[in-house]
Amino acid sequence: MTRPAPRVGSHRKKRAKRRLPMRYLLPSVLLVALLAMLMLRGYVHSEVLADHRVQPPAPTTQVPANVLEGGPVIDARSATEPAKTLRIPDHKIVLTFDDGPDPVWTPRVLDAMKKYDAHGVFFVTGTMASRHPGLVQRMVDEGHEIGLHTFNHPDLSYQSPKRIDWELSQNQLVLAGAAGIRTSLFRPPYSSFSAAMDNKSWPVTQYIGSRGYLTVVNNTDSEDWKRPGVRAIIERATPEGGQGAIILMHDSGGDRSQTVAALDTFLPAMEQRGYEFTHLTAALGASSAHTPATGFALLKGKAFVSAVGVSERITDVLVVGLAVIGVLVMARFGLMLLLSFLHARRVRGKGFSWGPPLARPVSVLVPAYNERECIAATVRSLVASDYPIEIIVIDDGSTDGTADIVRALRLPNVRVVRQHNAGKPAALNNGIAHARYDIVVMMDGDTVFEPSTVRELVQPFADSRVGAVAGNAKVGNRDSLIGAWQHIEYVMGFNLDRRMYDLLGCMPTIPGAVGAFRREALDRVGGMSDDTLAEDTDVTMALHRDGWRVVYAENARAWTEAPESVQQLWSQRYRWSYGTMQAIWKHRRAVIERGPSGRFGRVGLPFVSLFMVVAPLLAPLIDVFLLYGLVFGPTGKTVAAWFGVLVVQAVCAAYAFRLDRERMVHLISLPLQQILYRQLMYVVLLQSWITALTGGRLRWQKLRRTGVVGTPGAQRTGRAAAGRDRRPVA
Amino acid sequence: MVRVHWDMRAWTGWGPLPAAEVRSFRLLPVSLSGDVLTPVENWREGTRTGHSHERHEVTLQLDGLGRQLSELIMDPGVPEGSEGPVFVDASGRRSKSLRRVGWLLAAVCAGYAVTLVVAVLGGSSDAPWLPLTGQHEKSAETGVRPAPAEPLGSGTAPAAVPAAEPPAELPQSPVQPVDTAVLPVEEPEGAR
Repeated sequence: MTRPAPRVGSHRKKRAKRRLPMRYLLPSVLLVALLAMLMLRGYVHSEVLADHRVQPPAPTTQVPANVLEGGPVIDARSATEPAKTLRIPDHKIVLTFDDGPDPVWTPRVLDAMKKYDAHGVFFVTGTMASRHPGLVQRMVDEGHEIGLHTFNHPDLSYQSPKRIDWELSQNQLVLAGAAGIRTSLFRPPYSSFSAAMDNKSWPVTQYIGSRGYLTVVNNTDSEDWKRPGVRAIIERATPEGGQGAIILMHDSGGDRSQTVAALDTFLPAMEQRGYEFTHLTAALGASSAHTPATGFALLKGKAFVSAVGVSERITDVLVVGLAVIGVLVMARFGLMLLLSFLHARRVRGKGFSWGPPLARPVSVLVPAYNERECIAATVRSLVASDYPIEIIVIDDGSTDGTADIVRALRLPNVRVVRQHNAGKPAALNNGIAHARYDIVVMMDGDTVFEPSTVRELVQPFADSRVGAVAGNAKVGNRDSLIGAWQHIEYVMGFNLDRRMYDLLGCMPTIPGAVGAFRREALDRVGGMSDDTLAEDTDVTMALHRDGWRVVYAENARAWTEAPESVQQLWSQRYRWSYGTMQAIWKHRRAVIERGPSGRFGRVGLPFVSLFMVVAPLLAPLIDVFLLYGLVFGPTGKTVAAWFGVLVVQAVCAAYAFRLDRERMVHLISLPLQQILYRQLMYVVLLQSWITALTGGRLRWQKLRRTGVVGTPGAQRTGRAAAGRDRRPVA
Repeated sequence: MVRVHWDMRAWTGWGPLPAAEVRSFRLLPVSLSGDVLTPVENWREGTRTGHSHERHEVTLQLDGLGRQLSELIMDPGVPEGSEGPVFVDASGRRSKSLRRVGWLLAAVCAGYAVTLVVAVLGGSSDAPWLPLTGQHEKSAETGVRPAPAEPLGSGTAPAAVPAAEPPAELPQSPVQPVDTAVLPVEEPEGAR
């Protein structure tokens, strides 16, 4: 029983409109999430909002004398009383480590402290703590104290109170998430002794105090960040004459191997001399500086820290992906240049020939559907061919009188075959069935041949192993911007590729605009199939699997009109992309087969999949990281890298243009193509993947009838040709 | 691969030729109803497989169905090896399950974005109050320990005294708000 397919289709189209377009919604949402993750990565890697300015020293007239001459712990918390300082009692050392936690050095520091039963204070930055929450938890577990060191390590004397608040709250948030605590200790970045307080840093300390923090500077600077050597570090860190000390050290921010090594000697040495290594509140005799975080604050902290973890892992994966696509792109360029050079040298070499020159007539098939404007030019260009041909125009049920136009031309050796509208594969098969000769040239209804095209195209058949030949399709309308982009694409992307694939023996597709097939080969693989939307790719792969050679005839030029509107281009590329994926999937069994099919399946198919499916899928990463680098990262290097890739591409394109003897002037639009055109192709590829995954049917695909063929009046095409390439329903 | 657009239309029908005629092609157009197919006069000459087509294309208008039927009964009807359009899932099952997955993913992403925004905005920058019960520096004397012999609460004094040997461990001092209130009052006089 037949079903009226178009009606179902139009109904489905109406229904589809009411549902949410998941195929656009989901990728957009994913993209937003990805951007958020990248921003978060930039944020916690201090690549965004980081302020690396350091304030030069300023006068100290406004700093209270007792602070300047006081101890290293400044208590400016009281609103009513002036600030006080505290000293560390004798024979107590408070080891403080700034800028941690670091995944490499902090564990070693912690190990050393644990070994000698020493405790200290770690002033952690929010960025590092969010990335290594486990280390913060370990610090708390092993009895150390934690203090704030801001989120991003800016010099607070340059920042507004709002910014200071933000640094503090974000730092507390991360602490809450990492170890479930809030702390009351604070050390400003770039701090030194109390005596080094000046007019710029004192107001900051006052403000910090008003938020309830104890500002902890140091009175003994080991200067370990300068890496002066283990002995120098120990010397500078040793307090004088039994006095209490707060020692400044670092467990992050560079190579801290000297610090770790120094600890191994310093800790036992000081303990032997009667010092005790405690954390700050223990030394001061106060209760712990930690307070458990509870409720919503704890929840927020934990959510933030896990969000950072997710972002880190995913962006690491993306970075790997970027490396992969980078390698693929460079490899492709390298291969293209090398192999096209070899191909050109081979076929243009003096002694090269396919075999004895072919002179027997061939059949040219011109499937046409509503090509009223172009068909006359097409047929006339064929008639002007300098090679004996018979021309068969297959009219696929045109409604604009295409067939009549051809018949009215009254040209000899032009035949018109009419058929009920059934699609291009059916039309081609019909043409093949009507063809007299054993070599069949296939073209499109609006392609224009040169007089020498057919001759150049069929010469390779002198080699009996050749089953099909791809011609050189050229864009005629190359003066518009979109035409120029496609022109570059055809010359570089398609034709340079074809040389490469010819040499490798795995040409994936023969252009529908200009291709020739051996009829015997077509018979063997069963003609054109409508399983896929890219029947030319399908049949070419089938030929490979059957053991035929598929080659490229560079001088068989055919002129075609590329889509001029974005809509048409989108449509065309969508079909090509989806059809190619269909063809690859259809022939996937070749991977495990033997013989020529296996060779194609194990060499050609993966190669083609890699460069025509995987690489375009990963290519958006280039743009994503380009944006990231411009906004967050090393801008100069990013721009340089992008230009580097552009230059390589320009070189390839220039070489392709030279091989084809094209004028280089159209290369001017190459940079813009990298910014706009490629992105369009991403969206196309993405939509093809979605359609392939969800199993939707594209408008151009036929229903397969399985039973008795229709009743009279069963479907003519109900849908008028309203608009040539409307968007597919999927 | 170069192709100008090919606007394929709805399927109208197909039918395989009898196996004897054209063995390999699975896909040929066949007119079904009322559509006039005008055979071009000269194509008959020399055509290898011509006349079988012709019969199809002409006679189908009359009793094409009947003939078609009988042929189809002879022929399995579905070309061997062809499973239909690749990827297409007519039942829509795959699409439905993927839609569910899609919604889940969208929800997860939205949740992630919301979490980030909520966490980054707002938050308290205050520190929890840490009571300090001793060790205030009163005078500007350098040197080790001028700590006044204040009547401190139990267990907090030792650190202030320049003891010869440090206490084995400092007991945690209980919070003594009274003492802290006492000390600051004494401070300003000594400090300035």
